[in-house]
Amino acid sequence: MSDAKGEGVDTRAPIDQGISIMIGGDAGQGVESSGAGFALALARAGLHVFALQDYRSQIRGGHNFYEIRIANRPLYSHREPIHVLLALTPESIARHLDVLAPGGAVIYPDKFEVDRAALESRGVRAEALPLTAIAEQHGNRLMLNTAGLGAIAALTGFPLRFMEQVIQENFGKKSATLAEENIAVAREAHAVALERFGESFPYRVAPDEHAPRRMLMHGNEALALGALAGGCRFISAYPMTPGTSVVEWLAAVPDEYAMVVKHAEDEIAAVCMAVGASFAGARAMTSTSGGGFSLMVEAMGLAGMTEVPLVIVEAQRGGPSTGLPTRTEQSDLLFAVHAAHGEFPRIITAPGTVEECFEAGWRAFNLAERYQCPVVVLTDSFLASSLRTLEMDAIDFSKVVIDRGKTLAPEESGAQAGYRRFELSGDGISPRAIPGYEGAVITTASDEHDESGHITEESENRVRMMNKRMRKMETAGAEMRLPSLYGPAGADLTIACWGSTVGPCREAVDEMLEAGASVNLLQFTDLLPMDGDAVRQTLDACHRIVAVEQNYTGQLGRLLRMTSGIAPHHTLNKFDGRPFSPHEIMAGLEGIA
Amino acid sequence: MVTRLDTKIYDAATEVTWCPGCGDFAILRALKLALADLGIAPWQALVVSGIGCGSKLPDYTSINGFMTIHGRPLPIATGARLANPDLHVIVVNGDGDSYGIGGNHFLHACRRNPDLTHIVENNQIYGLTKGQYSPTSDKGFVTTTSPDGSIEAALNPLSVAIAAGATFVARGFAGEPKHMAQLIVEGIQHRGYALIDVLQPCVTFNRVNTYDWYRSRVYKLEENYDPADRLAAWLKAQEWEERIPLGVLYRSADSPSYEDQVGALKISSPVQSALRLAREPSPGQYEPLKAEFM
Amino acid sequence: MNYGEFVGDVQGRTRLRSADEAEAVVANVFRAIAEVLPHRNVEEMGGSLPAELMVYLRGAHEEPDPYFDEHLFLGWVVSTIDATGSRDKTAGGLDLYAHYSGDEAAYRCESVFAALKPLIKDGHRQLILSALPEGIAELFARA
Repeated sequence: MSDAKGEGVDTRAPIDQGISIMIGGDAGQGVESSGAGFALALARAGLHVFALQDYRSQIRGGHNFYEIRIANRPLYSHREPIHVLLALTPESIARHLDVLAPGGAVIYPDKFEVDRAALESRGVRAEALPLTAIAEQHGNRLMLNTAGLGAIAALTGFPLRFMEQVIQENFGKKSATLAEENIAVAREAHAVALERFGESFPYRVAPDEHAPRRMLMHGNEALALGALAGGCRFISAYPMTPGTSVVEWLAAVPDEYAMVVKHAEDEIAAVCMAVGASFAGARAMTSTSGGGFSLMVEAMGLAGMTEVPLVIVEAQRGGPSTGLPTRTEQSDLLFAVHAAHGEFPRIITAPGTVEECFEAGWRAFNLAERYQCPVVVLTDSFLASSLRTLEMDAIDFSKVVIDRGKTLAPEESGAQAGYRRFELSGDGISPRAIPGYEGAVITTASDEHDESGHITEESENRVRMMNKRMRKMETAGAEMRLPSLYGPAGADLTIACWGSTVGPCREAVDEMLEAGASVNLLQFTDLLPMDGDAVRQTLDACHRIVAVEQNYTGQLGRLLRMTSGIAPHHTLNKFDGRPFSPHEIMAGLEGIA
Repeated sequence: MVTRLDTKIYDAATEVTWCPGCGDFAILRALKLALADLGIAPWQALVVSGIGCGSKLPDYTSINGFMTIHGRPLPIATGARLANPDLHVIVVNGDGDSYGIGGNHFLHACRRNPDLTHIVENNQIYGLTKGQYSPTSDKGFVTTTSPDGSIEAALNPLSVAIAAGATFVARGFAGEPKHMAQLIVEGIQHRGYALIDVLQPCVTFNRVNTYDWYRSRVYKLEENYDPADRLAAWLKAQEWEERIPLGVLYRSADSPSYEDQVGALKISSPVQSALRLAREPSPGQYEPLKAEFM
Repeated sequence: MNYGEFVGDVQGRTRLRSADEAEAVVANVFRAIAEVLPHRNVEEMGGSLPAELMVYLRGAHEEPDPYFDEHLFLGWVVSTIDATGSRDKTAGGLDLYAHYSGDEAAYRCESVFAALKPLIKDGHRQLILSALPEGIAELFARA
């Protein structure tokens, strides 16, 4: 999505902002599953989709919602207002009243007591339907969400067949009856709703028959797929939202890939197993969130000191401590930059879109093995769990590169009598033999050590070894990506962002450009090592820089100042656990002006 | 047909910093004897240690060695073995490293049964940091962090191991290197997690549990002792104050190791996969995975 | 020579302050000898040595461990040295006392051997010499 010279942004045609549909209800009412099913149906109908989940750290009870934005062009974030709200609880209506679009509609079970006046005063149609009765009659009470989807399809003119196909696939595996009943419920609700609405609703969803087939994926799935394609065949992890789905996806790949998945007793064991596996020569990773990463820090230092490649996926969530387990934040950047005592080389990268997650998945292993150090891939809850439609070629396995750097193949190890694991070299990187093959015997210590890996405290050796290890940062720096520019160069206002905020930022920039503003977007993906001089030049060429970050302390801004000497002029911070929307960004920018 | 090797091939030129008389010398000797007996070459084995005096053992050998961080050699070794099941992986660390900070990993290794040999250099004290009490120090033991005598009961690691489901539980004594070497041989041959707790005097800091103290208590398990009897093993593990049994207290011969049960390893190990994929990435193999997203 | 005199002789050679300390040294060196001397060779020394020393030697094994080396032998003797002086403020590194304990232990061994050798027949001296591990045998030879 990036382009350095600001091309590819069409500011003449009005932007297709699409419409948004929201399902709101209690945890346990199937908001997420029906939402995801509906999103898939829409994607199969050739539409572009962006789906956002909002849920609590509870198994039952508590309000949550699923928001699906639909358009005929690629979408990068959710967007207000909501044009159709399916309210599975009365609370859902009260909660989202303020984001409902004039001319939009709320569909709800007719037994709810609803303040119709509040809706109508906003120009929103209050459509009570016998959804509960339909569900109970044709299936059971739990199929309320399916009834609701049938009604939405009728309201918006979206053919029911796409939804039926998804229901058949999802439930058909478990039981034919379940699938049949769900479909019956959907059809009945659809029929009843169609009779009520006809074609009166202004916000229509029509399939795009000419659209190519697309995929619908979230960030963690893309990351996992990238890792697999990159040759990773070992993941050890401890479940922690929102990093868990990476492990779960890899655990479910077909046996033929020979993927070893280890659910460890705690995060320390998880990261240590990955270190051990990598030391033995596997491409190994672990996936966690901030709290788990806190436990992994010592082992990260071990990897840095012993030059063992290590990939850690850190899917950030609201902190500190237990914080907001199911909500998003970007508050671990500086923690990752400084994690563990002492000084050792590390690489940090933060994909911003689902496609970038795929690439980060395989690229991380190349970086880890080339530079023989820890690589932290920072994502967050928003990126990990929101779904986007992707073109088929966005996931191109033929473009995946597997580069093991100076890792020695067994035949090469054989020539290594007197092998020294930490042999000094110009770029700081030593040839890396794998244990278990005739010839090389590898000694490695977490204490300071000499070239042969044996422990020593001699001061001259210490200086040589520190220089060697830290030199790897310089060597790596040459291949780290500079920030990419989206929008016209030399704009009055530059938005600086990293990670998942790039989606809402891009949508905001597009809208602002359409309105005639002079604005562009600078996205940082590779965060460490960062070329201070190059970044300073880039920032110097900007006029006013506003960082948009989901944290309290403006961590990207601080990192930029540390590395380049230049800090953003302002920062928009958001730390309520909900992702930025394009409108919030635009309103925030106006506030600063 | 196993060719016995010369123990010299495991020797390294590194200066040994263990105190004169340290029981670790005997443990190192026993390990070399065991590997030589089994015909395991230095490059075929991997010794993983933690932090402590005894954890410096890999530094004094010419065997693949990874000196890691305090308390963590077990998961690191587990990961290494899962990545390459052809490696003979041996974990060597002390009682504090194993049963204190590493206690959680110890517990789970017992029930997980990875194919590792775990030699614990149990000197009932923290030696490297100069004499604090450890999880296996007896109650009343006076040290700098227990000046009035330890008020905690000692952990009984063999009991814990048997209760947690370990499939090979043994005890050795540094004063009996030949017996120790035999235990290590059996531990390496055992298909699963083999715990060998070695009573090892810290001659510098532990003035109570000396060679003499152990010698007057240890005895070898009787000829007719049946190590397949888990309950009997549990009872044997309770013996401590007056008499301390040495030998294999428990052995379960037919439990599969963790690796035996990992389906993926029957197809390819993660190390082999990485080597192969680097040569032939075969991108087409992943195309079918796109179907679930469409 | 009786046991008390023997301990006194050792105390003199080692220059230890108390008889108790000297007794501990004697006990440990003899117990260490018992680790390497085959049991069948012990009884014949009964005529030459005080009963208390024979008690230690009777702990000998039928088949001594062939891998009982000088490190283990010294280990028995090092235990007698009061080496725990410093309170640790750092992790790792050699303890100052422990650094000297090897030499001190060797010196004490040699002192006991020197007190022992005159009491026993040449044949018995040979038996002990051949049973002792390399390194310790040297100490016995020159004691």
